[in-house]
Amino acid sequence: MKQSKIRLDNVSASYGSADQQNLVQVLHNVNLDVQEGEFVSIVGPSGCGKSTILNLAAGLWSSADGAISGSIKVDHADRKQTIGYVLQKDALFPWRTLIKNVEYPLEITGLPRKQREEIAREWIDRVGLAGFEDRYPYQLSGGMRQRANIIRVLAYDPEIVLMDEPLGALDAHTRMVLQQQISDLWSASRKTVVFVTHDLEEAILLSTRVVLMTKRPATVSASRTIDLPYPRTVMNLKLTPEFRNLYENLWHEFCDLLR
Amino acid sequence: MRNRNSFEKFATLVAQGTVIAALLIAWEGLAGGFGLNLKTLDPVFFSRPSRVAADLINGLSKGEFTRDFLFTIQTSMWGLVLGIVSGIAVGFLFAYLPWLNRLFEPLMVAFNSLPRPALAPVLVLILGLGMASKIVLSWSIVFFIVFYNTYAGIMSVDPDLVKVARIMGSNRFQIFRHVIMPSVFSWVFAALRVSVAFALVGAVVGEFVGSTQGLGYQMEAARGVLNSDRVYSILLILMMIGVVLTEISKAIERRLLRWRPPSPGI
Repeated sequence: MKQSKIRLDNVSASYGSADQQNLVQVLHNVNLDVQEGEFVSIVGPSGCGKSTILNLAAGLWSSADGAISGSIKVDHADRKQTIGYVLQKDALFPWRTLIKNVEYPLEITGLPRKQREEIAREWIDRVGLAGFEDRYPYQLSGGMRQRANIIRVLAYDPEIVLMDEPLGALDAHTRMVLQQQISDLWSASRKTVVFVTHDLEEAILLSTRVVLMTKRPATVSASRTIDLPYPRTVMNLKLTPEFRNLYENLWHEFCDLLR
Repeated sequence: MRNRNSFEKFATLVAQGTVIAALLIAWEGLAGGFGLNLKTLDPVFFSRPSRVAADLINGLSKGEFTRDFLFTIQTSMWGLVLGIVSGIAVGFLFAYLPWLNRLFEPLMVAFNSLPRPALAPVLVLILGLGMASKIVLSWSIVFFIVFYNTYAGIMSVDPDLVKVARIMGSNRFQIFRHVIMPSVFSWVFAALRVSVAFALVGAVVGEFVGSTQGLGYQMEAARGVLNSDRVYSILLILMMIGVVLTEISKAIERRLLRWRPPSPGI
């Protein structure tokens, strides 16, 4: 029996000041249960509050942001660095080289230089960035920066990985390469992942389950298990009838949500 | 490609040298040199390059500039260092204590709007003819440059960087040390060149107004006795100091801000 890692029960959330006048409701009675080892994609119209769910799960919501109701339970060990959060914008430290960026989370826990360098190098090799260790972020392409952004989070081995449209800003080709890498990394580690995207195809290609959200105030409108075996080859998977079936199925619902 | 590049560089150097040489020759000729006895530029006021060179060599060999040179360098460097340190400190203080910022904002704006050389007479009156009045004048310019850059640096720290640093488990000190500080220093170092130049301005202006030492003082003294050769010699020395200090700060900037994309065109 798997245990649930993130559980939202009837969660509603509104941004704005507490004086109730200019509150904007983003989430309305959201129920979401992410089990250990699931790769759940959240798909919905832009601005519907997908990122808010990640912020809630990461514990980044403060009372100053607005009001929430309902219950949010995130199950993780009692230590730091149990949650990894990958932002759409690659938030690399511009004054650190690639390897120093990947080392950062290990550095602040006091891991000795040699060990953290070793771990960082391993991750850099895995995503094909070897040879670029000593480049500064401005010297890397967008795809390389986003790869660095992702492995910086994976380097400290979090229990839960939250990703907020990590591939949203990339060109189609780079996007596909990174989708494959994310898929490979996931099938090797089977971590609990919540992946926010506005791209339904990407969601189906990567996930074990796709969750559709409505327009704002958003609520969960559908949850579909994607029963395709891993490891997946993103490029080929797109062309299989199984994928097309799932895609068409969800596409109609997705379009209804946009109306 | 490389050959062409180095040729272009060489050609540029020659062209630049020609412009300077032409100006010097014109100056020399118009101010009575080359046996032409033209007096378009009265050499009493304009001197001329050959006389300036002679005076410079003579003065240097007799060590007539040494004491004043050291005085000016010392005052401007003190002004620079104190300005940077206090500017950073107060910048952080004001950024972290918004009420302090609100309280002092009009005063800061007023002081920063004041043409600082106008402070020189007051400072000399209060602090006397020694080094202190010049250091304070120099400081009063550098301080505001660094203060505003520090403040802007803190205010423009990328919130996403703070966010990821926090999620990765950084404590407040680590965020300060690894996110805020590098961000602020990039602003302060980007303003280093300007700070250095203005530190020198402060020192020299202070020496003009009231001093017993310094290159500004010696220049003022030479002007008083219509020794235009010496006036231009000192001008040249000040120019050299400015160039050297600018190059040093450029090198520091390049070294410390090498993670920044090179700005286009410069």
